[in-house]
Amino acid sequence: MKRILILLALIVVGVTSAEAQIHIGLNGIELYSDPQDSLTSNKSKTKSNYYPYGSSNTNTKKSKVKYYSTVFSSNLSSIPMLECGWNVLQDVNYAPYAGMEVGEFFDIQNWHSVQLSLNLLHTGIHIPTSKIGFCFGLGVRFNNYRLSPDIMLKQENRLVIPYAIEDAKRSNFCTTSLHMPMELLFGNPNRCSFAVGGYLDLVADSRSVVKYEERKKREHMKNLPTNFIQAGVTARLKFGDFSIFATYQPTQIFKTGCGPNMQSWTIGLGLF
Amino acid sequence: MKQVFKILVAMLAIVGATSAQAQTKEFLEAFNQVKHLAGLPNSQGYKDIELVQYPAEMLRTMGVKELPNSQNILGNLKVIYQVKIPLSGENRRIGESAYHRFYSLIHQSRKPKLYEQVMCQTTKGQEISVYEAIRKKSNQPSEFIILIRNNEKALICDIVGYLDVKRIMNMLSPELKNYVKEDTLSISNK
Repeated sequence: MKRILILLALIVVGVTSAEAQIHIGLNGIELYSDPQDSLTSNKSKTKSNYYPYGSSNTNTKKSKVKYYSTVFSSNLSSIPMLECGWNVLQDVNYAPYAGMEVGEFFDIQNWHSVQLSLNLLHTGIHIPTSKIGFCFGLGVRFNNYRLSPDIMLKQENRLVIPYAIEDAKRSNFCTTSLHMPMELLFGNPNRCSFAVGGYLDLVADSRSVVKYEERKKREHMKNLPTNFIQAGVTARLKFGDFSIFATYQPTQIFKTGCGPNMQSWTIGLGLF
Repeated sequence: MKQVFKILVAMLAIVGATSAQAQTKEFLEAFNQVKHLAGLPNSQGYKDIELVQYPAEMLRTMGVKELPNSQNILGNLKVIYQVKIPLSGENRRIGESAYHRFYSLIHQSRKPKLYEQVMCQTTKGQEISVYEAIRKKSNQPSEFIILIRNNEKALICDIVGYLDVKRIMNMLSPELKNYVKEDTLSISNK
């Protein structure tokens, strides 16, 4: 822990003790050729250390310049603050229900099954010369799976069972999780970039929610046996503040043997 | 579902409306006006005014030595505009007029204000002022204007990039920094 604190302190000191490569005076902007001289006293500086615009510098070819952007800036992150996507399920398997007549109850309506992510913290490190960056974030993710309106999910002997209901307007299975995305970015994050990465979701809440035709009447069934850790991979195309993303989640939504086995895809849009 | 699309469209419209360009439009207009006047065949008075616009990519090719990440200013720059105006000799009035064009833009009284003053110092016949553009969106690059003038010449420098006031102050030449230091010390001694 001490080492981490010392490292953080060194980073902060490094960031705040910036010296100029460019000097602005009454004669205009001057490029500074030797940063070591800027650390010495002003008296020792000579005019030959400066290269005003248009002046020739023989070291141009020799010097390899590395340009890093500010460490930890949300502008350099490919992860948007707001993401909205549509969930699609793949290979839904009802093996735990062998011998039971439950049917394919987890047949979701794709257009109504949405995913909403709010990345309250999203930041990144970017190296413009190689156009590579690393981004990470922290936020909240809501997943909604729209089920057939005549069923509701309940837990019985650790198994998720569909129960028949009447007069329901809509029936949803919802999860809320702590969302931790990490991405490797290629390109310019302020213009056009491509990012690949992964995410880890820690499921905090899962419930089946039924809304009835009768106004304001709702029914909840909480704590369905979902996997606490859910992870997946993400690919993203970013254009300025706007991005298109696709995620694949190979981990199961429900615990093994407690519900249908399935993988999920999400395709959506990101903003900011 | 229609509502979801409506919300999305509304959000996209808001994003489109607020994504203004990095450079303040009014400054660019003033810069181009002076550039136009300097380019006219009969405008001898404007010939001495030097106008410069350099993108950061160009500055990076001008032989600046390698600096570690934390000290790298060029990496965070986007563009620099510079106007050098001579204020002595026959064309003093034209120079003053060009300088006033930028000065009045920065100090305009109508709202919304474009710039706010960060620093101002008048010492030994020399005036140094730093202004920061007021941004609506926090993720836009910052814009700073540095005005330096004495009886003989004036410099207007507009810097756009992911910079803060501290880095801008670091960019002031050692002579100007010394003036600032001397003045600050004299204030603290009093």
